Amino acid sequence: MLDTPNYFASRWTSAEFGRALAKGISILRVGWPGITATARAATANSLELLDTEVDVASGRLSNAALVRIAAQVEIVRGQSHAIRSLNLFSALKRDIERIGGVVNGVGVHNAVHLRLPDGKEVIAYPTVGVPTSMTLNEVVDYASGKEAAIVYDHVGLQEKWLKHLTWLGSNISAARWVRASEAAWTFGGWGTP
Amino acid sequence: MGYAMNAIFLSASVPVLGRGNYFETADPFLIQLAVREFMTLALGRRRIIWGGHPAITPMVWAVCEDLGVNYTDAIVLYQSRFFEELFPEENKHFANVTFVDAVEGDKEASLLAMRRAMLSRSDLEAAVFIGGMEGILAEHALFQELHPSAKVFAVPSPGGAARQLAQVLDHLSEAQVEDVDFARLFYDKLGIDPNERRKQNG
Repeated sequence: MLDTPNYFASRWTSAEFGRALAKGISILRVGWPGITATARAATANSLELLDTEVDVASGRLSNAALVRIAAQVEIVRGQSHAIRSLNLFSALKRDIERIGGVVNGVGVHNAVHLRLPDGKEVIAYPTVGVPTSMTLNEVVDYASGKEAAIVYDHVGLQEKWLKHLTWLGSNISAARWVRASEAAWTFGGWGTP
Repeated sequence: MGYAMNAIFLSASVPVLGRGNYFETADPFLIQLAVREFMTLALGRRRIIWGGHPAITPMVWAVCEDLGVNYTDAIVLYQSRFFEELFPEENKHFANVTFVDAVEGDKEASLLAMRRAMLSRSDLEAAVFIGGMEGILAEHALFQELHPSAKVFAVPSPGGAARQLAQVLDHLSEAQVEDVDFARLFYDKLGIDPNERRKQNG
């Protein structure tokens, strides 16, 4: 987020900011020289640009500023991805155990081997971020003919994208799409479409 | 009138520099993620009672929307009229706002009146504390006084006053202080069944 004057006055930037928070994405706030962070950006990691790092004539940032931003983005991204992965896996394990199933273990490509309450074995692939048809392609290849599920977090995804995933799910049955927030319910009724 | 449902009090905010030493341990991203994980487990299963926060209210509203939860009923927002000029834009999305009259010219007394109104609800079964500053300690003391047998969970890893509270309440090991597995922690501490159907919109 490039925090320039009146950032939150725009409906679009405000909406994007709120949606990123809802998705659990870590935000790096890059403060334009002289702009103070507002309380609305309080959950963001913050980096302030110096006057000397902005070329007023061209509006370009200096190489030193870009290096600082890139390094900080990588720290923020790495932390965010690690913690979101942990919580996605942990919630899946919790939900499977709650319905009387078992997590047998975790294999290559983050394959989580599940045994459901009726004894059926399913391989789940928890996916952080925005899943795509490529995710489906990979999961079907990885699962090698076994029953597979892509577990994804739908909170924060655009309505249009969710419709696309629903379309993929209803037209390609090689793997099922499971919303993380409904995992207990969906895996609990796995055998009853 | 809404549906019958037990309620959980949420106290969450991001510490700022210059108010106590709460800022030193605070990790804003972990505060964001802890609130989000709490919301995805509890929304539509327990009514959430809270006082709002400019950086967190927009996220709460977006999570409600994406889970298809009727936020006008799933969340009750308490606001003191003392801060009327600072109410965030997103407040208008929450139809269930209880405004508590200010004590004229007295910020502390106005806050206490708002906290007492919010925490004296009879439907509260638990309280969750995340991040925060001195207000968290005041709210915890009042909550304990009004609901001595209710569950209390102060989340340690995001830091702030909630970490200090957790260390006093739970005598945590270093590993427990750093635990970021919020999905498991909220389930263990609050006992909300992830298989419980949410009260959805419509």
